[in-house]
Parts: sequence; structure tokens; C-alpha cells
Amino acid sequence: MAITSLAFAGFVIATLVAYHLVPSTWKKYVLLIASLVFYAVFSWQSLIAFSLIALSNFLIGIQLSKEQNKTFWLWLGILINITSLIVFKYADFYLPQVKAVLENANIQTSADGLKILLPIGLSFFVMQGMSYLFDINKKRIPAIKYFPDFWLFALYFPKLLSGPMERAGRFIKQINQPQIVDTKTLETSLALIVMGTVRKMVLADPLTSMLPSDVFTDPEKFAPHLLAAWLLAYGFAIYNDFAGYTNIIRGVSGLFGISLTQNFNVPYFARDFTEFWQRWHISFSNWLRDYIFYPLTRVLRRKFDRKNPLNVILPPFTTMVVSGLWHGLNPHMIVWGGLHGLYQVIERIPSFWRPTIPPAKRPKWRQWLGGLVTFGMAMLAWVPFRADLPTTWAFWKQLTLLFNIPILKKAIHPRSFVYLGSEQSNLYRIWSFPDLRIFILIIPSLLIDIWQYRHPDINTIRDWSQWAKAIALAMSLLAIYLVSLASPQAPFIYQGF
Amino acid sequence: MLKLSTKSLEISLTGKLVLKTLFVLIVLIGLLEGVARLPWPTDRIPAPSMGTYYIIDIELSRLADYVQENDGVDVIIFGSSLAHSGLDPEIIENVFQQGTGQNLRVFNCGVTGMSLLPATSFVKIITQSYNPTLIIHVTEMRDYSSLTTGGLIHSVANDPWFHYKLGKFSPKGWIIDHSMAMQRYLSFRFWVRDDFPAWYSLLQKRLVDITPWGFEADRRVADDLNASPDPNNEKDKYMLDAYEDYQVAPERVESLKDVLSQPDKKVVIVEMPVHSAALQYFGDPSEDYQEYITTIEQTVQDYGGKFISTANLNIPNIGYSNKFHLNQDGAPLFSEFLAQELVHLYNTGWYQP
Amino acid sequence: MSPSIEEQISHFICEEIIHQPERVLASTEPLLSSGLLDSFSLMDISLFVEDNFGVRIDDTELNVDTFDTLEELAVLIRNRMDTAA
Repeated sequence: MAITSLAFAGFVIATLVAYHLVPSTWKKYVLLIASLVFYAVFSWQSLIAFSLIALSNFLIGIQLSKEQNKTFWLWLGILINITSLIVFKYADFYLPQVKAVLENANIQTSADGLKILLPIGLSFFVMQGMSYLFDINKKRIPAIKYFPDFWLFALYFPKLLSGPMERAGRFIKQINQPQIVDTKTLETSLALIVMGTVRKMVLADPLTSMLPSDVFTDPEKFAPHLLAAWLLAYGFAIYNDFAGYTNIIRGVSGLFGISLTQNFNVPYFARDFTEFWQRWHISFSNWLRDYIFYPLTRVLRRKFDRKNPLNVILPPFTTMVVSGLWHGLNPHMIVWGGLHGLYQVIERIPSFWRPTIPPAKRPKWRQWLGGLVTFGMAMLAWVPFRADLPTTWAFWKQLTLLFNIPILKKAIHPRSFVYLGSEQSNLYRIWSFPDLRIFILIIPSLLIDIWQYRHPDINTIRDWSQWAKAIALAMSLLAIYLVSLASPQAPFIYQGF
Repeated sequence: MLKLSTKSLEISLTGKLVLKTLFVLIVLIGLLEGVARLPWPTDRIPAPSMGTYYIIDIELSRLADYVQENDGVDVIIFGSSLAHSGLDPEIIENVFQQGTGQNLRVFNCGVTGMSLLPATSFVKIITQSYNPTLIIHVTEMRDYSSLTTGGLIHSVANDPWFHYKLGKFSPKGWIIDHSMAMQRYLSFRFWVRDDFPAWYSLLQKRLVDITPWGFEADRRVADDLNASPDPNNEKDKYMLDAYEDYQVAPERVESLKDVLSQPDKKVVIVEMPVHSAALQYFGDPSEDYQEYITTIEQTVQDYGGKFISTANLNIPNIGYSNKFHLNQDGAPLFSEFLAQELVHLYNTGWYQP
Repeated sequence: MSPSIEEQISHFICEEIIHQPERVLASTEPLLSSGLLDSFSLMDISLFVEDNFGVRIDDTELNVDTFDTLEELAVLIRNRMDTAA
């Protein structure tokens, strides 16, 4: 059930009606049943596996709160969560080796027989489960003693598929003290849903579908300026895809009076990478900060001086490599994470002697330069996120030709043969230049971002005049309708995690 | 004012925002409609689309222009790509004029992939809209096999505009039929695809190649027509499998009867002069051909139409682009032949424009 | 009179972290939301507070939801010192 589908809309409406009609004490059960149904539609087998993992976390949480054998229970919890992640998510990595071993022992297996399907949302839940156990261990929160509450925390359907990664304490409080949904909350929630749908359906889906099929497999075939344009397209596709998804589910959750963490805050306007990771996948980067970066920094700082290279390099690097591994157990994801770690290390070094100036107080030229550099380096890092390592090197190597003026001049010459991707070559002059369609979609994305940058609080939308709201809504609805006629929906890029 | 109040819900809505949004939508749609109806250059911009297939769109656009320029149309030719590149109406008009002294307005509405089954719907729609006095359908053996399932069969069967024009109302069908803005947008509906550049280049080429009479010459010349079908070749294998056990399917004959049943119209069914080597795809060529030709002739006769056989039409090998299609050398021969047949029908009084 | 908690922390931040020793931070100046302090420096501050005031700021509290200004941080420290006492 795609969250931009009519089926999902119908499901939400039905759940809303039930939720708002039943007595307060029943509301969370309505959400739980709806979440169970939502998950079962994808796969009832996965629902069982997921629920068992949730139950393990719940039971271990209770044990942890008893103060006996805490270390044992904590490590058991970590082991169960990480093992389940490895077993399900990284099956592609180890199943071929298992198959080879079995075949050596003369045990034949079919390709399907050794297939293990990743329960949807497991990657996100594992992080939430572990943070729950860490928090109990550190006595930050009491253990949840009522399994339906915890089950709902695990399965809550708006955040189930792709986050945000909520903290158990904050979430449980909300479901046990339902907020009243008033007209203002309704307005904000619907605005989020519309904005999210525009980002996902009007911007992300077309950008994703127009990417040539071989741009991330055979980049050397592309002229450097066209390759750069497609990289830009990918960067905006993945951003709008995920940010759009988060907006929609925050809006949906708002209709139930439950507020979910903001996950994106105009990341491409960040002026350095510290700021970037405060704006991109915020719930996940906060998780990494609280459970990996800070504990590791604390341990190292107690042993070594702040300027010691270990202190400077290890915490950001380790944190970002873990981030890469969470996305995928393969070398190119480690490179992606490592790159972001490296960016943060490099940024950190001048701060040991230069006076620190907050980004907003820096001279305008520094802010612009910082923003452009951060944006450019973030785009480059998307290559290993998307492509394997050999292709990544080839891609970057091809991009360096942007500085080779003779090659660039030849590539944009009207009579040049230019490869356009997906087995197409240019027949008309206009295709020698970067595809105009990319910019037709990036510009609205930037306009939305500019508005959001100036008005970080979505609630400011309530202050618009009715006509302004009507124009925005009409244009959004028309754009959504027109794009829905153009192509089938693409799945969320992050939904595979 | 709508008020909803429960323990967890306290909302009051006036509906003003909805009304204002509707108003803005109407204004926006009006603006788009105005822009869409501007005189865009027809050789550069895709033809307005009904959302099915771009060749249909070009044909409909050409037909509308033809009718406007010639104040109507007398003869419309239907069929698949065999018709689309096999009959040049300009030649037919000239030969008919020379043979009868009478002007004849002929348009070729053949569409790639439009075998008999989807053609029945298309014939009905076009005939209702443009009121020709004579319908010509170019037919061949594959039209009558139930295993001919490719081409436009599925897209036409599920198309909202086709359904709307045949009397099955849907909001989408209505919008497509009435809104130029929608038609203009649909003509670009592939803009999100990765192969859009190739598609757009191909479209521009077809826009130039398809004449104002709806005809498009095929410039290819067949290599070796008499070579036997190759079972290792995907296309050959598909046809060998499909027609090995050829039978004329009753439901396809019903489609022929639908075409023949256009009220107050004369209908001519003309046999496509495929190359003799095309019969190599059929399990029992001679028997299969006899079954086909006998059934068609009888059906056409029963329904008051005219069947034109091309058994005596000799087209040299150089006039074929493959075993089924005529090229730019073969099409004029077929066109002249058909024109002479029409002259004969005119002279015998069977058909008057 | 010994420096207040705010003054001590301000001195530490200006000397060691932002390298502006002549500066004095206002008690209501945003420190985290402005980007003046990042995650690296927040841990330094946390350790400084532990070592100098005996108060532990948990890792999950080192963010803008817990404190953003010197004033808010000082209140947190004082409350915990009082609780410990």
C-alpha cells in the first residue's frame, strides 16, 4: 500500500473515523489494530517476525529495569537486534556463501528456497529498539510494562516503513495522553500532507523515472556536463522522495494528535557538514549522535586531549561509517559514510585555532561559499551511495572532465555525438545540453526549500491569507493530478532499508 | 459551518477555503485551456493526444485538418501499419479523378498495431465524427486469428477516451475529449521517462513523414524475402508459434461484421497484398489461406459490402519492406490498383461519393 | 566573590572552544540553535560541567531540547546540584 495511493488515503480515513469516535482509553488499540492490518497487507509472515523482535525488546526492557545482570540483558538485546538486522537485511551478502557451502556438501537448494525477505521497517525499528534498551539501561526512561503500548511503538503505521526514528519515552507519552486535534492542527497536518505529496509525486517520482538506466552503471559513456546534471537530478530525487514521505506521514500522524519528529530541514542549504547532518534525516543523525558519537567521544576525551587526532577523527568517522553500514553492508556504503565522516573531520580542524562564528553570523560570501561547497560535496557523495565502487571511481573520474575545456566544448557542439543514456544518442541540438526537465523540477524544489528556510515552523502557514492558501492548494492539486497521468508511482528510495 | 466535536476532535470548517480553491482551479484550468488552444506549430509540437498511442493522435490531427481544408471527407481507409504505409490517398484521389472526372476526398487512417479487433472501435468513432460515405478496411490473415494479441488490442480495450466515444461515460474520458489542455498535456505524457529524448525525436520524425493525407511511406527495402522464417529469431518464432495451427476465429469474424455494419455507409474490405513468402508462417499455407479468404468473401457479401481481392496484383520484391509491408515503391502500385477498383465501383453505381 | 556558574562556563567556552577570550556570552544568547556550539564542543562542555560542578549531563540531553542558553544550562546544573545535596 503506497502512501500516495488512494487505498492508503481510504485506510487513513477509516482509521481516523474509528479513532476519533471511540472512548479515549480505546484509541491506542484502534491505532494498534490499524497498524497490524497495515503491516499484514505487506506480509503476515514478516508481521510475525517483526512482532517477535518487538516482544524480545519488550521483555529485555523489563529485565533491564530490574537492575540484575544488566550487562547481560543489554548485550543480549543488542545481539538480538543486530542479528535480526544481519539475518534479514544482509541476506544478499551471505546467502550465496551459504548456498555454496551447501552445494559443496551435495545439498541442492533452489534460488527461492534460500530467499529471506526483509520485514519492512525492520532497519528503522532495530534502531528504535536499541535506543529503547540503552535508555532503560541509563535510567533515562522507565521500562514499558504493557506490551500493547510497546507493540504500537514498534508498529505505528505512519512511521513504520521509513521512520522517523522515534524515542520510546516521547512516543508512549503521546499515545497515552491523546492530543485534541483542533482546526489549527488539522490545517497544519493537511498542509504537510499536501506539501509531502507534491515533493514525492510531482518532484521525486519524475526525477527518479527520468534518470537514464545506465547513468550509475556506465557513467563513462556520458559527457561530463550531462553526468553532472543527472547527479543533481538524483540528489534532488532522493531528497524530495524522503522529505516528501516524512511530510506525509507527519501530517497523517498529526490527524491522530500524535506529533512525529521533523526529519528534514532544508539540508541542501547547509553551510557546512555539521549543519548538513542537523538538517538531513534528523531522527537518524540524532540517534547516531546520542548513541555512538557522544559515548565514543566521551570515552576518548577522558583518555586523550581534545586536539589528539584520535579525538578528532574517530568519533565522526566511526559514526558516519556506522550510518553507511546501516544503509547497506557493502563497500560503497562504507565509502559514502566514510566520506561524510571525512568532511566533518576536515571541517573540524580549523576550529582548533580559529574563532568560531555561527553560520548565520559569518560574512555573506562565506555563507554562500560554504553552502555551495557543502552542496557540491554532498552531491559527490551520493555517487557511492547509489553505485558500486568501480562505478563510483569511473563516475568521479568522468566528472573531472568538467574542467577539461576542449572536451566540454566538443561535447556541447551541435554536431557532436552525445550519449543521452538508456541506449539513446542525441539527434537534435537541444539534447547536447543538460536535460531541461531536470531544472523544471529542481526549481520548484528550491522554491519550496527557500520558503521553508525562511519559515522553519510549518505552522506559519496558518497565517497566510485564505486566497494564498487557495492558490497554493489549487496549484498543488493540479500538479499532482497532471503528474499522476504521466507515469506510475515509483517506490520510496528509502523504503528498502 | 461544519463542526466536528468528539473527545479528541474539535474542528470547525466554513468551507470558504474549498470554494476559493475551486475558484482558483477553474481560473488555472481556463488559463491552461487558453494557452493550449493557441496555434502551435504542428510540425514541431506533438499532436494533441487522446492518451492511447501517438500515431492515433497524429492521424486524428491530420484528419481534422484535412476535413477542415477539404470541407469534409468521402473515403477513410482503416487498418494497421499495412494500410498506414500501403495506401497513398493522394494517388487514389488523382487516379479516381482521371478515371471518373469526379473529385474524391480520401484519407488514410491506418495506425500501426491496429489490427481488426481494436479497429472496430476506431472505425465506429471516426465514422460517427466525420461521416464518410465509404469505409475501406485493409485486411490480412492474422486479423482473424485469436492468437493475434499484440499491438493496440489491450490499450484500446482499456482506454477511457475510446470508451467515452463509444458511449461509456467516464469523467476522465469526458475531460480528454473536451479539454485541449488535457490533450496537449497527454501528448507530452512521456516526459518523465528516461527514453523521452528518443521518443520525442521519433515523434518529430513521424510528424514530418506522415503526409496531410495520413499516409507515411516506408523507406526500407526487404533483404531476402524468400528466406525461410528463423525459429531462433524472436519475431519469427512468435509468428510461427501463433500461426502454426491457424484457424479463423468466430469472434474475429464478429469484428468484421461490426465494421461492415456501419449505418448508411458503404464498406469495402480489401485484401492486403502481402508477399507470398508471408504464408511460410502458417502451418498449412494453402488451406489456411482458403479458409480465410472464403470466410471473408462470404461475410462481406452477406453484409452488403464489397470484397476486393489482390490475388492478381503483382508487386515486385523491390516494393516490399518485409514480407507483409509495402514500401515507397510498392505503395503506389497498391494505391493505383485500389483506385481503379473504386472507379469500377463508381461506374457500376455501387458507390457514389 | 567566586564566579557564577554562567561566568565559569562562558569563560570556558570563549577560551577553549570558540577561541574568543575577550568575549563574554550573554546568559540568554542562543548557543546551540545559532550553531555556535556543535556536537564536538557540547561534549567538551559536558565534561567541563562534570569535572567542575559534579553534575552529569546525559548524552541524550546534549541538544537544544534540553538547553540552548547559559541561563538554561545553569538552571539545569543548579537543580542537579541541589538534588545531589
